[in-house]
Amino acid sequence: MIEVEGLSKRFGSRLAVDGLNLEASAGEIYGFLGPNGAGKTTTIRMLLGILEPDQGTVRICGETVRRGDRAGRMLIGAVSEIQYLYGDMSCGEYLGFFARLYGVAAAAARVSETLATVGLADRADDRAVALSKGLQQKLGLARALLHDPPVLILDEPVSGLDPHGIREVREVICRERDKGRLVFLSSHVLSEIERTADRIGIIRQGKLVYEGPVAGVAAEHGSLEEAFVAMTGERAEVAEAVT
Amino acid sequence: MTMTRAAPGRLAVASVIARREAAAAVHGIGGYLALTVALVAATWILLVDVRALTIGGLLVLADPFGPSLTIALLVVALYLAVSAAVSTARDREIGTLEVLFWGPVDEISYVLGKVGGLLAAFIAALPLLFAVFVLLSLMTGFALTSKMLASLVLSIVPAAVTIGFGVLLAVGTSRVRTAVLLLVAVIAVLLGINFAYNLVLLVPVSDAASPVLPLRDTLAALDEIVRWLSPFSYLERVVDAVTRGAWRSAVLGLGAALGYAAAVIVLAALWLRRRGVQRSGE
Repeated sequence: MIEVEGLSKRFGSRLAVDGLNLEASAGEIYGFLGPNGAGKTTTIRMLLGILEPDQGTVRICGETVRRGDRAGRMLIGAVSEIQYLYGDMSCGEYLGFFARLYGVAAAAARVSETLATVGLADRADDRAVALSKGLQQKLGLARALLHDPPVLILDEPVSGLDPHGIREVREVICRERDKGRLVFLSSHVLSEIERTADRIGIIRQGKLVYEGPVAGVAAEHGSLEEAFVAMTGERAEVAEAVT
Repeated sequence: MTMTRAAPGRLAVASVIARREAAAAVHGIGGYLALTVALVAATWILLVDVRALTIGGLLVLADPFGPSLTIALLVVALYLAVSAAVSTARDREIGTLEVLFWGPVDEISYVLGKVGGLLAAFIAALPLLFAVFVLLSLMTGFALTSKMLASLVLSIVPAAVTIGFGVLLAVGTSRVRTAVLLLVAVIAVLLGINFAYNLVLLVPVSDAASPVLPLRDTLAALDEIVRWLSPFSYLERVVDAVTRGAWRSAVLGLGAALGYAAAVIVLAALWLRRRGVQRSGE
């Protein structure tokens, strides 16, 4: 579903992503890990086709993604850590706007359906910006699911959420994986990755230092946290993530 | 799950953005304030003419509503140019620009949507402007001509230039404040050159060696450039030509405005592509 080959991106003298190769398949949660500044967000922007790689290719569902490739973006639903919402829109209006943008048929029914999927059915008329962070995160997930994409790319979807919020988002993510979607999940919350991901890729200074099943690497090092520290040398990062 | 589905066409995407933009403009109070200012300014200019007529007994004008209509349209177009700049810069400032580009939005559909939405708001204001001019006609006894109606309709093309200009200046900025300041600064420079040229024309020149002459020539050249660069001059030119019945000039003005509108839309899309859609500092 996602195939990345030799992906590189340089900003001035800094090599943000350096010959990255990775592969993630349908029906799995792929945890994408790395310390701050490792190149995760840059990689995600190239997967989304909003940043042009200097070298390498990204293929999603067999289609090569190029910057500005609108058809390629129809295969992806994306959510970031912060939900960028319109201050004047209710949740229903917000999703309705994106449903029309994606050309979703029977937009009103699909909006209701997606709101129900993420547990926001009773919030359709609430102003989106007035929701708690956890509910905004769910609204972001609803937006990402509107056009029924085979790939979900989630960048820090549980960051800053309370335990209830984390559980609710996790349930949605696992349910979507079980429906056969590929969930590409970037997160600092290692305990969450350990719990939900099927496979992981660990990136350090723009290079992939590990790719494989999460269970294997966690067992080998005692825990995912120990594996992360061993591979990235970022204990402070882990401490920050754990808190 | 959708495995393969074509992205909606660019015009379909642009029309969704345009509807959102137009709705925001219609529901906001700013547009109504701008319209009020436009109508007050138009009425005031008309009353000055009425007073001149009362005192002098004679007033020669191609169309008594020409100057007041020009002012009203300029105020509305200026407001929409500022709105375009604010709306575009705000999308980047609050991060909604990048979210749009995660979907089937690209640079050209985004810019077309912004311009189209605010142009729709401009078109929505035209019947209201016309109704007020009908009222003013009844009050003053000045006849409304078909040229005046034609001016209103044809002003849509140069209005697109002013809105596109606002988007063009804003796509490269990171903050709403920067976008507005930039637009105000550019307008101030354009108006300043025109004002300085008109001012220097009033200075008497006694001999051929006067230092005023080269200054006047320089300002004349700059003023000519401004006439082609300033988006507002196209609106003024088209309305003036139509109210005078100078149809050839009107058609030329409309053609130039159409070309300029296309140019600012393409330039804005290219600049946005070069600048990227990320928030500042990301």
